[in-house]
Amino acid sequence: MAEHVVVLDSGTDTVKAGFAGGGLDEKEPVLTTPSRAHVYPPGTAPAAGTAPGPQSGGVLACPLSRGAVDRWDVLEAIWHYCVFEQLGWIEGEEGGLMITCPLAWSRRDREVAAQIAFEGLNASSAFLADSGVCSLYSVGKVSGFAVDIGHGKIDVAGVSEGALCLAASETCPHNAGPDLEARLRASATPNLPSDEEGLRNLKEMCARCPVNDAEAKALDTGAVSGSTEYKLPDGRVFSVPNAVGMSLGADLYEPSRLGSGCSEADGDSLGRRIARLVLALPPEQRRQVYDNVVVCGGAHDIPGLKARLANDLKQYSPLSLPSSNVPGSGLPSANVPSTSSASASQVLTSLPEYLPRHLLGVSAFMGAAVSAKVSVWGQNQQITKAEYDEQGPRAASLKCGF
Amino acid sequence: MSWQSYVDDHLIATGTVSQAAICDHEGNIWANSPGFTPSSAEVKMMVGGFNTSGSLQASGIPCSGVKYMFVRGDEKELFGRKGSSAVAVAMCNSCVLIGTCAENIQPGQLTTTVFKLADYLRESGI
Repeated sequence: MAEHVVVLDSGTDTVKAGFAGGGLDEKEPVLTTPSRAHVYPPGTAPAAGTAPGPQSGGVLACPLSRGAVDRWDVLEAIWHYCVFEQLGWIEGEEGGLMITCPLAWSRRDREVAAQIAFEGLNASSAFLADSGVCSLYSVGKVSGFAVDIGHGKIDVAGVSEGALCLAASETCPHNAGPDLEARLRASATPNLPSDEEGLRNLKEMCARCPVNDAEAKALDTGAVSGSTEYKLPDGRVFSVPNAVGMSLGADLYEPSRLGSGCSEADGDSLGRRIARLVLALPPEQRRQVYDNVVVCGGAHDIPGLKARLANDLKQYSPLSLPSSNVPGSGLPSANVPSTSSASASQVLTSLPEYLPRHLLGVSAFMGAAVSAKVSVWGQNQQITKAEYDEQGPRAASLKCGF
Repeated sequence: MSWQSYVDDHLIATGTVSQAAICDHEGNIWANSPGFTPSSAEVKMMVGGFNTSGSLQASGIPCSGVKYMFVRGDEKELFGRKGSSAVAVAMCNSCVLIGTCAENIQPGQLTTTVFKLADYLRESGI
């Protein structure tokens, strides 16, 4: 059963690829490659050895937009590059593929992904997993909310007992990496990097989130002053007013601040959003899910974001049972899961020791890698080529996602 | 071919379905495995839930006295879980297929069997 299984986690910014997990050190993605490819009109691809790029007629394309796939042909090309050129697949010796799916992927999208896996990449087996479920799995949970803050969207996924609950999940496409960069560019900060990469690095360094409503209010009334200098990796130094840096994080956390175009539900802050979504679950499951919120994805580390979320989750909690972390509540805490030490503000899930904090950024990959080995291929739940041949892409909907 | 043989031979006998029933949209049972009797109220709730999955999200999928947690559904198929057992419900043109599985069967196998049979029935116009 030593089938080589490759895990593919495709995001708007990068595609993470690697092998399904065994030992602790095997779980990191071996390859993180930009989600970009140069597309050439048929027949005009440059000869091997020529650098691809606009100068040779190629148009840079990103296959994903806001989490959903626009261009399957580009994604297939990137996947092909990952498995064949980087991860060692040889034609005739293809292995299994574990593909993660963000919320934005419809059932049809999953079937197309399965089709690419079996027909385009000639995989010998495959499985499609919800990335929210995988992210929770990576921290050892089967129930909870996975807040995946990525480059193209923020996915808030409610998962109960290993199954994604669509009614308790939402994609927030309005505010993500590029939107924040645009905000930074449009802010009145003098002297910003003129190149995209510099601006992006600066954004990543200076964004921070107000930790509670009081700080957010201070931001709005202009009470946040001063500025901080940031040194980019290439050595350039830029100064950004603290108010701007904080407004980036605040906008990410609460899209309604961005103003135009958001319906009320779309503009909800992350904390209020989760408090609202949890009500879509049956009452007996709500506590378990609400108590296990994991923030992951590329922007999980924005200072203040997790604290803000923890504060808001407590403040807006729609659940009538007091949390077991509140001392002196008088309720038996035997059947209410406690998340960590007795700190009263700890609502977010604490990390298991085997998961270094920085890997939360690729938690969907990590969880998928473990899940592939332990619960999918380990228990023979994957779609085999024979099953695909018999059932077609529909096998993805029949066998996965349960 | 009798409806009972659909239940016995095409569902239960595969080893991937623990209990099964076929009934019409009103809940009148055409065939069922022993002891498995979804009530007509339950079936009507399922049928009502096919298009508007929101209705089943909060209430769960009730089936023969057991309430399953709603996991996913669209206009033809519903799936629910309760602990390690699961229920799969598929809507055909004139009938509803219901199958459950117990602990030793993987949900993916249950859904494959039930939904494939439903596909076949729909294509046959039933």
